[in-house]
Amino acid sequence: MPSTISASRRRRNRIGAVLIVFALGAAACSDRKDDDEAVSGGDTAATEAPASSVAPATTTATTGGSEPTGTTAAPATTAAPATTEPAVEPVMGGTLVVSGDAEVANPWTPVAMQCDSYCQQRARTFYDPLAAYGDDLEVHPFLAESIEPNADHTEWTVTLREGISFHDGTPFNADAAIYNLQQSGTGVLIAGALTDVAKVPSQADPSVMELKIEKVDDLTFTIFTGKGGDPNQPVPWLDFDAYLAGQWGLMASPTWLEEAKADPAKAAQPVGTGPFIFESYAPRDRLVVTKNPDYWMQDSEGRQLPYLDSIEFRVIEDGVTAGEALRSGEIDIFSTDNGNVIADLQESGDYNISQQDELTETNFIIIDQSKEGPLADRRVRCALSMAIDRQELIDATEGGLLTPANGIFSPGQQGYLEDNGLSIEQDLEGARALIEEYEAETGQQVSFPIGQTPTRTNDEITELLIGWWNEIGVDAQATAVPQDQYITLALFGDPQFQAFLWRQHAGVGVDQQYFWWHSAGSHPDGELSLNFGRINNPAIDEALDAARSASSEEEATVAAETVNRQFAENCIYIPLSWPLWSTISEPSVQGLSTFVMPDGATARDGAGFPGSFWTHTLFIEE
Amino acid sequence: MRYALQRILQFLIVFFLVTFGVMVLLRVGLDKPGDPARTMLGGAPSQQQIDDTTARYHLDSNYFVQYWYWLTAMLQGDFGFSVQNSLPVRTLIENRIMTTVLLGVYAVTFGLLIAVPVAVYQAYRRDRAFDKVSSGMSFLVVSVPEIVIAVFLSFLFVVTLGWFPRIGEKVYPWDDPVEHFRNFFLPSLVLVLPLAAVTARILRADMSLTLQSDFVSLARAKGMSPRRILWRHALPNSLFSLLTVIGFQLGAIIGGAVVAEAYFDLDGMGSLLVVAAFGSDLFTVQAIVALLVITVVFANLIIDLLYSVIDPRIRVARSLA
Amino acid sequence: MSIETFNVTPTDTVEARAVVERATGSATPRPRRRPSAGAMLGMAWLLVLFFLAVFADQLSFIYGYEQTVQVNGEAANRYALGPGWTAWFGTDGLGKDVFAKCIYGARTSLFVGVVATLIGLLVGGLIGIVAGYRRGATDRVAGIVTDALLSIPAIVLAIVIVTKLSTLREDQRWLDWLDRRWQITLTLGILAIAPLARIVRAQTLSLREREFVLAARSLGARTGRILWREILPNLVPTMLTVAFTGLGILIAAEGALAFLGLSVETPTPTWGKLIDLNRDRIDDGWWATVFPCLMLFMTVLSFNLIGDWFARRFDIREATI
Repeated sequence: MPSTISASRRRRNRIGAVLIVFALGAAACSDRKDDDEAVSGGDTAATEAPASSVAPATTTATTGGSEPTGTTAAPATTAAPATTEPAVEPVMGGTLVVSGDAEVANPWTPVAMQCDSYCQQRARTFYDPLAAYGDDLEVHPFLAESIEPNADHTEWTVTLREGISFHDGTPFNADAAIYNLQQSGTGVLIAGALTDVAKVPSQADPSVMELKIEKVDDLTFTIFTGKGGDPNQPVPWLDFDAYLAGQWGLMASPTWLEEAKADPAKAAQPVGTGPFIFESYAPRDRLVVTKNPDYWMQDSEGRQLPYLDSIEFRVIEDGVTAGEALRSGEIDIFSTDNGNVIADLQESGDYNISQQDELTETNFIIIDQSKEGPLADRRVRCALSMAIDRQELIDATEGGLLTPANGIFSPGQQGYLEDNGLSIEQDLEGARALIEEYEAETGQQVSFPIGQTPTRTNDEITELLIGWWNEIGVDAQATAVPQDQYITLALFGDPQFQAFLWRQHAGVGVDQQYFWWHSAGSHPDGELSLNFGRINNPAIDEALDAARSASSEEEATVAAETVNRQFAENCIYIPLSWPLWSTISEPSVQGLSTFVMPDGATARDGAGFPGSFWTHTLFIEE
Repeated sequence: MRYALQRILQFLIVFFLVTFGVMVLLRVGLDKPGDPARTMLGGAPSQQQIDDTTARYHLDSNYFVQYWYWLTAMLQGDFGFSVQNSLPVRTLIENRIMTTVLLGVYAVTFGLLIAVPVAVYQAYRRDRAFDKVSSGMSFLVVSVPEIVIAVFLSFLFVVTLGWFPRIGEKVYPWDDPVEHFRNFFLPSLVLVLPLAAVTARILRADMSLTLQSDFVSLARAKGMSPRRILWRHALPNSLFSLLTVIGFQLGAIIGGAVVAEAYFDLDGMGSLLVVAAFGSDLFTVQAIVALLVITVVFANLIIDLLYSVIDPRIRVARSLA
Repeated sequence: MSIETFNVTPTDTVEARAVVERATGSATPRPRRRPSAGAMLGMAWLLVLFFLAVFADQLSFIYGYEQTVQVNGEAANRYALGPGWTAWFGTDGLGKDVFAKCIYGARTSLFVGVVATLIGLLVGGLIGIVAGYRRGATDRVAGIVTDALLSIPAIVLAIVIVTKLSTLREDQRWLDWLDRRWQITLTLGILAIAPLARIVRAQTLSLREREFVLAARSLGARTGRILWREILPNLVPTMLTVAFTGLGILIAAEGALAFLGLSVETPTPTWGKLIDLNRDRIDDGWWATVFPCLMLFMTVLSFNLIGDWFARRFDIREATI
């Protein structure tokens, strides 16, 4: 059950998740519902709507229609912002046992949370975010009543809802919100994402800079953008509100935050405004939350949310073990990307499976572009990419359920291209030729270490990779790096960090990836650099800037596609596969993906945090 | 009495040496200022966090000072703070210590329950069929690495027969005896089998020796029944060897518990240690090592003292020394 | 088989047997010079294994362990092939040949075992001889150090040392050579020191009172000379015995460490890693787990059988209690 020695090894490389989340969920795409790209599957999905919440095994592989792949469980309706009536009367009460596969141990203060999907999943039971994604992939105000930009998107005004309090009684108002934003905004990793938010000397201590957020009244405040922090150079920022849907937008009680500063033990007992109240936390074991009876939301029938009495979150780091726990009834629901496990459970036909194969992260090999050595040469990187038989890799290690990736943009994401110039087929001849060319020119053998977290799946992946690379004359050695140090090594450009197995970049819009890829976020080895790969590509910079300040989503999309092509052309990173996330549950668990947000839009499960799901409207039918 | 004091002193010295050594070992190489704190915090901590942690746990003082703080805290029941888990180490350990203790108790109890009767019978009917076969089996069992035992047991009972769950749950006997049995049986078995084999071998040797001694021949001549001789006279004589073996094997039992916990996903001290060691959670590692060392050394100390108290020969020797 | 079993080696059965034989004048024949059946089997196994491991690259019937076995152009991954003509031990999850991995795995396991034992013998032996011969203060100090090392359960110490070495290597450039294989080897070597020191010390203690040593001393020979010419040669049988038994123990220990995630880097195979990687999917392909288990077991057993025979052959008597 709880993680143990070997289980911690089996944990997959989660950093990606850690970082995506870090920040900032996914980008907004304000007009996406217009282009029929609507990932939500358009109207065709609606035909499955209410019935499926009662149906026993719902495997939503496809929703038909023009979309290549399905999305989250069909029970929800889609783009239409109409309220969804739950077809079945929800049963109030009960305890849901959830399991997740990663535990990046951390305190629960938003500024310090090093948070992957499962961490976000749990955090969003006791915290509410200011904004959240809807099924239409737009950012909708959540805790906030409205989030409005000015005409050129350089100022964003947030109006909060009235009458909401934190679990400890502290009122939720503009002061509390601003306090949170300022606190979280100083976190090392979130700060990197907010470089284009204007900064001014703080009132308390003018020698310290803080974000330029002006309080308008008790429930309203405005955030100002500024190129590189300069308030005199406002930046049109089309999808800025997406950041309020991410970790930065989580609202915690200022009273509690102050207490936690003084006493670190308090940091493990979070206080927010969420549908559930924190009860207990045993790291790597379980987190228990209980219903917040005074939660500020009701469903469309006026019933108090949430339906459940409590949720118990366990940590089972290995997908196989979690599958067995589900079978034996120890847990009710879990999310996994382990292809073998999903396939097994699918076969048995006894469980509800809700698939997310869009907006997922990408499994890839991240490479430090700035280190001297063979990896700095484009030919070597491309050769390494060409030597990989992605389908075989997926078949052998993931039960064949993943999709070979041609780039860092997964299907459904802004900028995704079916053909971006990178081939996913294995071409050993071509690869060998490139290596030979490199060796002839430089007289150097290609040899480098490839880092991985010590999980079984990663062991197998590197084994296969090293095998193929040997065939083209490259000598690679695997280095196991403990999870806890993994990000740090990449962050600071440690000598050991040359090529790492990586997973990152979930999300919706390309603006969310800005600081990971823009040269402004690139700092030399030895210094903290959120642009891990130290990418310094002018074409990419230009495109990212264009996407940020675009005046329409179409413009932004074109820019995103340019970034995609640049990555492919230069083989900057080596994409491997796109995972398939599934949330698998007992048939008695109902209400998945039926949560309607206050403004009428259905909340989108898994947007920004693959595998996660909203818990407000879950209930257990006996 | 003097002997007792001597042994206790030795116990203390060993304890200090080991815990100090482990503390130093964990901090070796972390010379740059702020390093121990940064390692403990993991991830990308802010300078403020590093400074706070360094100050709070005196990580920049010399080793002796640090040790002093740590020791005094331990004695007061404060095992330190696991920065990465935001929990006091004591809480972490409290959650898991019962599991490991139970495994250990089962190992010793059932190990003895199996080993003693087997060895007695082996000694009694030396070189006959039972002795030969069981000695051979015992040799084999001693030679099987614990992980192979775990795999074999798992394959047989979990995969093939399905009698036991694959993932162990931390169910205590006072909560649900049946579930507890189901979850703890196989992991305990992994520990019991090697221990029983080793113990049986020693006991057999020792008892064979005793059975050839004069006073046994005399007893036989007097017509005492074999059963009485075996159980009432020979066995108690071998008690010391038995105790000593257990004492020595404590370390092995703990090691076995670590493996068993890993294999069956039980949440005990073993798994906590591995995760903490991997994550450079210094205080957790130190605390666990300290506890384990105390257990092993203390047990051996008790055995030694018992030994000297019960065996008059040694007592006399000591008093003459 | 854990490191702690070093302390209760099967030699005590020898002691018992010898005494019994003398006491009863029994018909049990003296240990013959010819090896027992078990020892012969053990030697045969080890010879074959050694040969295959060393010459694996040259032997054409052994696949490379990085090669994917192809069947009709498709990789035989996901345990496609069971034991059979194409792949003697079947293929594993990635389609690589299990037999090849077992053979190449032998290299690492044997390397680690042999070198660690050598380290233990050299350092432990040195400490043991000096402590046993000099007695007095030297002996006390050595005793405390070995006691300290022995009081930490072996696996616990191993975990701490390996993870520490691993962390150190990341920081210090000069430790680049210290890859996982060396980390484990060094660690196991360190673990072997204390038990070996004890055994050698005990032997030395009894040897130093023997006539030829007393004679040498009365003739005024220097300590060093005595140690080198008189004592050391007589220690060889003991050291050989414990070397073989120890090899078995250390190879098993390497397996246990692999289980806990502290194994050699990919793609180098070791038995422990193979067992650990494949045990979850044992119903998909039992061969990928069972055969490495068998290899591990047979190897450890062989070393034990040989060690046991040595003990009987050389009539080793040393106090373990």
